[in-house]
Amino acid sequence: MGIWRGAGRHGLLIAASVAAMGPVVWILSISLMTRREFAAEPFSLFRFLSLDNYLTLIQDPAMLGFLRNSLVVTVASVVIVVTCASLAAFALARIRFRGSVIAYAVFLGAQAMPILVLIVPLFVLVSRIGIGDSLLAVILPYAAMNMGLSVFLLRGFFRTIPSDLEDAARIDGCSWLQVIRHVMAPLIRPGIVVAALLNVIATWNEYFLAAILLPRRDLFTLPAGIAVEFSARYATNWPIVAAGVLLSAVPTIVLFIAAQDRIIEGWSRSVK
Amino acid sequence: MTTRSTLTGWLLCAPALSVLAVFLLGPALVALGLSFTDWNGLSDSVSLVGLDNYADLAASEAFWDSLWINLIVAAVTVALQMGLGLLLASALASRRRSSTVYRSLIFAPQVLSIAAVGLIWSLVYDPYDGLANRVLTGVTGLDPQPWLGDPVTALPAVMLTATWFYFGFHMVLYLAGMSAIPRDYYDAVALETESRWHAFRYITLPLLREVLLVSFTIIVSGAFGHLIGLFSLMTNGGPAGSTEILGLLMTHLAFRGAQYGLASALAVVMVVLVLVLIAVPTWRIARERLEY
Repeated sequence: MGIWRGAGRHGLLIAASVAAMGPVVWILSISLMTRREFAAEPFSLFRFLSLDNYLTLIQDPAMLGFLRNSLVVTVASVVIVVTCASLAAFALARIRFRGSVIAYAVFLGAQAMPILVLIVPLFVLVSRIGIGDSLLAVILPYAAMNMGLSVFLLRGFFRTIPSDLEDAARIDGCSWLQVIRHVMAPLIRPGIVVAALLNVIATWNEYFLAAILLPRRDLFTLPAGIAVEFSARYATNWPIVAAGVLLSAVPTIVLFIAAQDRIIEGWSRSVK
Repeated sequence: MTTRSTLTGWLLCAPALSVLAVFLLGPALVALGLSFTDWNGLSDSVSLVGLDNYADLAASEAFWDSLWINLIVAAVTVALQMGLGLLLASALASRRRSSTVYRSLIFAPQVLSIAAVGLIWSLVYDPYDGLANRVLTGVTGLDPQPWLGDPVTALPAVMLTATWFYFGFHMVLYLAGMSAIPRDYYDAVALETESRWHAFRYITLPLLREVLLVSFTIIVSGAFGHLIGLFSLMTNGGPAGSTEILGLLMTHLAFRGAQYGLASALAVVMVVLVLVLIAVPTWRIARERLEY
């Protein structure tokens, strides 16, 4: 009985793992084929191992432009979110102040409201306030998109730190900002790292806002570039699209392999 | 609660709140304002039309079709993702070794972008070279299907893709919730009955309630939000409007039809709809968290 139960459980988990990884493995195999090989044998896994598609892509100026845009957008947006969210999270976790429930409710609502629901008015707003022709058109909306979740995640980390330390610092005459910088920041560095990781992944991967809000192809980030430009330019060349898909995911794949426990822990904590 | 700490508290919240005020509340107000106009997106001449846009929406078949499709998407993705997530989390929670390998493999697709997922699955569903037809004809011997090209199969095909992308994420949420449940509770039930279902039904489920509420709100708001990108890439509403969820209808009204007033009214309706759908769970979560 116990054996069968165990076997059934294993079978279920293996099936789920295969279902989750199967399409990705297949795409990886395709990305190593030439167009002709793909047309002849699309399902022969890893029979062909050519890096030509990847070499073509990394020499493509458009691809390098998308990469640069993605880097700028991700770094700028994540710095803004993590800075603003840390301050707010500290206040919500540590300072008893009038109206804190309202602030809490606003962040909770912001976390729950999907910004894509507002894509059309956001497009109007962004072009009207004069940032529509630059990468700021997505950097700031991304900051808003990730703010609620980051505040909750960091608030959770702040709450786990004993308050004696900051009380002592306060009694010694430190201001709240000094408390944050000199006492709390070193202690919540792991929390900041987790928040930054989640934000990097969310921002790096965002596709639809970028495709709508960025006015020109040369401002596109990688997901928008791959989805809009590459799938049009290489419409019938699936192997090179497959290589582009995987190449654009390299940074997040590397982050996941290097820090998956932290990422998974962060995602689990962020909803608490 | 001194005046000084109140001031400090709000000052520290101010940067985060202002980003939200401009880029979340801002567009909501823009939508509300434009929804009373007939703006076409270009001209400076705008006239107020009162509630005409809302009346037009209520009278349009496209709106009701999209609403219906979107509610199906929300219901099906909630059922599939929560069901699969719970099933797999239960299977993982009770075994210690080897579980991290399964967890990583099942969670891994999360690091892809919606764009990558949309492209990968467009290829999976390709009528000629796709994996889906390969599996279908190989395993069942049925004829190959056009999948995304057929109004009957397109919607289930995209919903399956969404489930594939997100079920590992919800599984991980449930796992974290389950690991916080003390072992003693299960030992106590084990004395009473051998039934695993019993333990799941009367211990796991009630103690996961808050996590399940959070997961529910994420999936429902995703059905009206995140998934717009996936649908836009895989079907863009077609074939024959069979996958035109509300978000796609909104972008098509604005960017194809230059009906910004109407699209804005739709945005307002969507905000209200999402708020209504998630209000009860969100309120309960907030109350449970602040009461201690």
